[in-house]
Amino acid sequence: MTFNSLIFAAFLPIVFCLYWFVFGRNLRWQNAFVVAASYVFYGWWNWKFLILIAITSFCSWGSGLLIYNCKDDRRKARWISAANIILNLGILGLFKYYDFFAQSFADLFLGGKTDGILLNLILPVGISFYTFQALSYSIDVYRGKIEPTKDIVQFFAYVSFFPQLVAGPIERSTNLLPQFGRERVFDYSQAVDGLRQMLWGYFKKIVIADWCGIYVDKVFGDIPGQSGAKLIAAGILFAFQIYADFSGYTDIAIGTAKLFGIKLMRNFATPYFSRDIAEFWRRWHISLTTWFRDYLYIPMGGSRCSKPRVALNTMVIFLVSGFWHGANWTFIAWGAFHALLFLPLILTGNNRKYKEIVAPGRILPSFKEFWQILLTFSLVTIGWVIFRADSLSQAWSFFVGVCHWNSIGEISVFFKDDFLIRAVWIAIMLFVEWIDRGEEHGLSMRGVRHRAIRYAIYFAVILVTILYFDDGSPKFIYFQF
Amino acid sequence: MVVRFLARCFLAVVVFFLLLAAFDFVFSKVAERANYQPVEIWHDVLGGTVDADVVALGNSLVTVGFNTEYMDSVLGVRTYALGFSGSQFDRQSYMYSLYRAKNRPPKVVVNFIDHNAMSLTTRVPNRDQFFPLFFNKDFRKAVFPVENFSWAERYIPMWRWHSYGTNKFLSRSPRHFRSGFKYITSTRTPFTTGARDSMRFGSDIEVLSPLWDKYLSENVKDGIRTVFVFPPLYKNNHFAEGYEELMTSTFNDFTERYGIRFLDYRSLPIVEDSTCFRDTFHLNGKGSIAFCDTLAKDLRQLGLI
Repeated sequence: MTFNSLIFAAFLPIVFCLYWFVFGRNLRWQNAFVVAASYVFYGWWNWKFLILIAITSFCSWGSGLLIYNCKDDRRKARWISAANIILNLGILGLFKYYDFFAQSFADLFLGGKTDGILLNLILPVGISFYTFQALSYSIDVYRGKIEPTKDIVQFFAYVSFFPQLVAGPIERSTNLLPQFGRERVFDYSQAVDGLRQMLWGYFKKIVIADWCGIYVDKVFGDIPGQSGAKLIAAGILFAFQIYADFSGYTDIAIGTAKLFGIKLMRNFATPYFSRDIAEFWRRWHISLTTWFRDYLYIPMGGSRCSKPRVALNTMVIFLVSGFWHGANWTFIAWGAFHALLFLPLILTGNNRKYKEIVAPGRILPSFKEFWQILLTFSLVTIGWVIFRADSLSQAWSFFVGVCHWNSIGEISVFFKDDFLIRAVWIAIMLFVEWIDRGEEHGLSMRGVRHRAIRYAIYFAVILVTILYFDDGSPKFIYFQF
Repeated sequence: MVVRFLARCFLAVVVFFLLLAAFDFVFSKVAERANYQPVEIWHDVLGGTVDADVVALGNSLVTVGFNTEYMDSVLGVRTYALGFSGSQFDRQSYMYSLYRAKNRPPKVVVNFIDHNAMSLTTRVPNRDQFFPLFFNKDFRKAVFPVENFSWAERYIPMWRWHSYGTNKFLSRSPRHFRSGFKYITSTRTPFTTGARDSMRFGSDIEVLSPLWDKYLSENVKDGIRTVFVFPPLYKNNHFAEGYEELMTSTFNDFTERYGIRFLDYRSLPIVEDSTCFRDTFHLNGKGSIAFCDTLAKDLRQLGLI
């Protein structure tokens, strides 16, 4: 089941009513219901892979208890923690990376012959997300940051909570698990804000991401046949497609969770208004970035070591982050590209220069800020081209194609309807997010006091979203990761 | 608190529903008057604004093949292309009955005969042609039995418009289909063999025969002369292969019973010329003029004009 399906429109109100009216009086039953609803949500796609979620959940829950019981024996606790990590990463590796390594091995040593060595397994949706979420729990227990829960239902609810099960945010046990351990109280204003956030997420997914995707797919499907201007247009549109797709999903997830009295962590903070790459990474896919920071970068020494070591740590973290997205050299190259952009900042100590939102208290950014934002966006867009390409050679042919302009007239691509209409919607999205850049989402409506105006805005967003909705609406891009 | 929240949500849904319904109504009325050709025909038919001596009845082959501008100029009479895109004869005859009920009767009906004349409509392509007239009772009667609109499309305002480029309904561009497709010279077959099999040629003839009889006898009674026309298809179109004999014998039977002439253009020289077609079914601008030139001469020769 996906958020952009009609079945979800029926599923959500039913689950909401049962959650509050039928199971609301008993925490344990309410958590059990969350698990059941989440398994229905996931199983709608493929029920067989529920076994994987159950194994991951059970092993991480069990290892948490075992680690806690061995707290006086650190060596034993370390072994249990390592075993759980190996098991979870083993499952992830088998489904997500085995064929990639087998193919690479065959290319290197078997002349490309892959007879009998590829498994061609279907990648379970969201496996990278829930695996990392489960891992964070056992690592936190090992580190003593959190006490393990004895309540298996509570833990299963933590791993499988349906709004964020398939594409995050990758929650921490310190934030989400305790919320399943205490009685939830319905918060009216939080629920209303959740609905607003969901609406904004749907707008971004359906009006921006899906529609930009049509243009992008067409261009990336035939790179040699495209003009330089068209390739640039597709690159720009993909940058907005992936942002609107993923942050749209996140908004729907966080908004849905709010309806159930659960507060999920923020995952995007207007990343395209960043003034440098370091700021971009503090604002893009925050839950994954901070996961790698806390569980990989800092244990490796982080930035409190020699400069060569800092450079190495940074490189590793970006390469792993790229590889997390998928078993393809393009993702690794994308990670390396960002590492190269990030390294000068961290080595010169400028990586924490911009912590606050841009232009606080002002309507417009300064001239300098504007150019910084534009430059950062351009660099990020170059990275997205590598990310979007099917192979490195395709990415290369894209960049070569960009340099080939037959005439200045090609610039008319940017004034044709198919680009211009998309650009107008993107501009509206950016305008709304700029106004609300200090808020959790674009439709927070803090500055709109008149109810009639608020409702007019809701109506306009609903109308446009209905008009752009496509029955064959593509799945969210990050489902594949 | 939860109850209050649900009550407010319900209220908001009702308000939005009513606003959407009002918007849908206004939008449909605007779109009804658009220059989007399939809609334009329904608008003409239901509005009773057609004043034609010669009406070509059929499906999209009429829309693109019967070049009214050319026929008007050559024949010196008013012609009208009554093409119900994607329909079979059951829907065509219903559209024709609506036409008759609301417009001046024509003197001559040029009835295009093709594979669609031999089967019942199961599902009509180009569904967007129906959207603007959703609130019209006659139109719903014509379309709802055959077009599988989902419950969401029927009952959620504006839902049926989703993912269909609404701009074409609001565009002020010229009537782009009226004089045939332009600049397209592809010879692909737009339908798969699966689509052909689903049409069940000939198997519905027992249901269709009374419809044909009713339509033809009423024309005879009202003094409207009918002529069957088999339009040219590109040479490699084998869509109705295996059924051609059945089609010919069926329509020969009608021609004998009702004294109707049958003009067969399946072997016109243009069927060899790929530059005259949009695809293997549909003529383009060049092809429609070549075909209409011959058709006009034949209609004159037969004394129908």
